[in-house]
Amino acid sequence: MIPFLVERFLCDLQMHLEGVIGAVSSSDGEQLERESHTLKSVSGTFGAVRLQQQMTEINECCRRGDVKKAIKLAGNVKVIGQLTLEAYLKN
Amino acid sequence: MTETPSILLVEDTASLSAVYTSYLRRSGYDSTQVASGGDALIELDRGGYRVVLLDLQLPDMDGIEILRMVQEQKLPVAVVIITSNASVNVAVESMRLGAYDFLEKPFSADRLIVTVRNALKHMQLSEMVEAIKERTHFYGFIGSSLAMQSIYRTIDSASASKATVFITGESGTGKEVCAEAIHKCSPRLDKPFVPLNCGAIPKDLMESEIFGHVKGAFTGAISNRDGAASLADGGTLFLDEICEMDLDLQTKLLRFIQSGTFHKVGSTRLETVNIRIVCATNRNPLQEVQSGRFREDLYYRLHVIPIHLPPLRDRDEDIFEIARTFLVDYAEEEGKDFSSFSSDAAEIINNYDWPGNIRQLQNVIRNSIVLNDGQVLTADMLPELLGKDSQMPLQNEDVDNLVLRSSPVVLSNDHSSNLGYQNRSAANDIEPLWVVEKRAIELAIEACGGSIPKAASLLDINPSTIYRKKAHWDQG
Repeated sequence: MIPFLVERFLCDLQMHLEGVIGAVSSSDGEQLERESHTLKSVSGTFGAVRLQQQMTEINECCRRGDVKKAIKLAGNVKVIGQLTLEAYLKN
Repeated sequence: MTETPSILLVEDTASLSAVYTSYLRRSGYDSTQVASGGDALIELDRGGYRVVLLDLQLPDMDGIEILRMVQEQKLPVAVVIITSNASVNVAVESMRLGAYDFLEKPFSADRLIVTVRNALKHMQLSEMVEAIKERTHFYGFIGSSLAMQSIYRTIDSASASKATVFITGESGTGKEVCAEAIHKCSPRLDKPFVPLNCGAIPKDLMESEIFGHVKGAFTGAISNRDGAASLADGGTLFLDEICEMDLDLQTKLLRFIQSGTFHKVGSTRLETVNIRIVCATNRNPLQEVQSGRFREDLYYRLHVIPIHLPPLRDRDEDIFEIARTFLVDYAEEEGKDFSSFSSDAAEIINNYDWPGNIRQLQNVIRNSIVLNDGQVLTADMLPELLGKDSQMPLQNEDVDNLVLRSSPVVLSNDHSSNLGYQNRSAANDIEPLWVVEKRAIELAIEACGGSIPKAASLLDINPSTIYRKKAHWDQG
């Protein structure tokens, strides 16, 4: 069961990471709010704490209307996302 | 513990859906997973779910819309909101719309299972309360008052047993309806229900009515006949007005109840039947026992499960509920448009004592519908009830309102009809019958505006009788 769940997590992680990165590059506040909201739940449920914290901050900025700050906070999301992926693939 | 209640999981993120499903399955709960609001609505429409785990952020709609729909349609499900947006506004809005609980993502398996378990228990208790509370109708009874809920529960409990039921209550409270309900609730519902009114049958024929007779048993017994006991074999025998039964027959009834066997009148053959007895009376049975009119041993043999039907005046909101049902039913039957009561008519109906109980209410509503037209039944369409007794009084000289009940204008040999005359009790005040008769007929003709056929109808005699008598009087 666990391998199946991790596999699902990795799929969602990649999909929604791409969503966040795409929203940042197009400065789409609405999409960024949506994707960070989902990634926050997914990463939190699977114990990816660092990613969860980052997504929480980005999401809160979006909900406050501070898209500029949200985009800034998402600056290193690619790196953190990659580190998270590698950690789960290794284990 | 392995339970298989129905849980609907509405979560569009595949990994989260998989995790929650595994949490539930590990604790023995099965679930259906959908990934969109549209699919959730389809599943809810199918029904059978008790708990919905609802994500708010769905690809095709806001999950709050689904919660709103559940509330509007009063679906019997407990909705647990699962969201990572746990702002106060969202939580308050969700609870305002009737959500059972609110889980902030990420949450542990234990948190989810405890919440689901509590939600299921809550639904189970709600269903039990609704099952008891919602009985506005019960096998011919109409009414949701507390008094009647107690009666329904007693009938539920008593019906499965073979024990005798003794129903008491004023006239018109529904004793036969109660007996039928007991029969229909019981395992005997496919077998006969045989009612017998012990007060309506002449005492000489009562034994034959209950036990049957063989040919030649008495004058008039031209063939064998099964009595109510044989006809009710396997089913229920309802003895109404049981306190009217003759003492000798009570003895035979007691023997029958004790042994389940009897002899038909005039027969030596022992008959055996399997019946369940329900009896009823509008008298006080203990008083009848104390006054020697009812056998004490029979009373205690019959009085195993007592059910006392409350008078209508003690049934609070049931009065109007029943009146409304009669209004709709009789309006349809009579082809009238009545659909509601005016507020003053409703007040009169609710405040009246109804000494004749449901039967009287039934007659009043029917009378009002037949004699009037309109969509709303108003106070002036009701008979004069306030401060009056149950008998419909003579309102005025108008023939259409002439309703003669227990004091009809009937000529009788015992001189007891009075038509409003003073009671003539002294011997020298007694008039010849033809004088009393002539006065009664003339008064009736005058009240009917000179119409002899109308007067004859009310006097319950043939018009030719009046013409003949008038001719005789005119001759002097």
